[in-house]
Amino acid sequence: MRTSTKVLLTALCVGALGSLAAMGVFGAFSSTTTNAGNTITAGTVAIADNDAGAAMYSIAGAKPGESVSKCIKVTYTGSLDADVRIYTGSTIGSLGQYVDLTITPGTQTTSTFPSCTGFTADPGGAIYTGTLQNFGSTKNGYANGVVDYPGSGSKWATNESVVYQVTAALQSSAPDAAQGLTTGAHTFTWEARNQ
Amino acid sequence: MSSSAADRFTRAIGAAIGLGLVAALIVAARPAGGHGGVLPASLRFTAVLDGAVMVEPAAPRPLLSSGSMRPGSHAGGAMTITNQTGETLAVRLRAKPSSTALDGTAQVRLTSGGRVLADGTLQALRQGSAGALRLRPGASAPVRVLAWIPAEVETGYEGRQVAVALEPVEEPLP
Repeated sequence: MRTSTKVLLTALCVGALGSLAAMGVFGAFSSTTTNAGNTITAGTVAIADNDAGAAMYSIAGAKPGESVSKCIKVTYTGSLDADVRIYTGSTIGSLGQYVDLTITPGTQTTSTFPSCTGFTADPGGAIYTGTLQNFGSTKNGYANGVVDYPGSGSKWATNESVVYQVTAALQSSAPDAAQGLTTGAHTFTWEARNQ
Repeated sequence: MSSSAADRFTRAIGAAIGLGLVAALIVAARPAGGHGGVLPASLRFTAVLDGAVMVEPAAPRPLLSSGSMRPGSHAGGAMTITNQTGETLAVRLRAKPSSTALDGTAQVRLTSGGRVLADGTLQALRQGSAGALRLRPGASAPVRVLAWIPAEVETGYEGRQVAVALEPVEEPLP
């Protein structure tokens, strides 16, 4: 093999191997930028109570002057700040005009439905006082429901709760005409809507 | 050794050295990795309230913040669950992780008073704990949460951060 051929082949080999090395070196220089993970997740509005499906009261054979007082703890677990209103969607029977209803918000050291042991009313006192019939006719939906917030706040935030003492009393002045009447089964509703 | 044999031997040695140098150059020219180490995983557990039971601590306060977790890391936390209803309840706990990133990697054990309520992957806890707390009206029970990444795990945890909401699921008992 002639010397010139050897030189040429050597130059080719060095060039080829040098090209490989250059690819390793210069191939690393690149740059990108991304904006990933874009997402929208809706907030939640969720409210619950501790009744486990049981009624607060069910009285048969009520006498004039007889009353019942029970407590229910309402907890807001949604992620969005909310308003909560209390109303009934039930039709109140004719005894409702002789039943005084009081709803008082407060706190309780340890809540065990429907006990009111350890209940302390908020400084503002009752948020509804009137007959059950009046409650049924004037607080029958979210639009006209009784507004309440935890403490002195103006919103329900996640995990805030209020204990409501609900007192129902058959008026001591109920007339003989009230005998045998009934309020019918009625439901108290706490509805939350985001602010 | 004849002069031609010595010449071929010398050329072969030279070629080998040359190839070795070029190979070393190529290896040395490789770009470095994006980071020298491996990012750890992290887990954050919070307890979700509902009306029937009170949980302490409740979200948004965490009951477990693992910090940096790598294979072999453990993290623990605790909470107390109180039955607020007038019924005796069976309370199970269900996991709602923010993503599936550590579903098959992270292990979770829930215990209460020495009794194991759940022991398995985070994914399995999505279905709810096998064991349940039995709580009379007003009764409370502590629950301890232990989370870990098994030492034998080699990959699938790097840089993954998962928030887990533990949600109580109640069933009234007779």
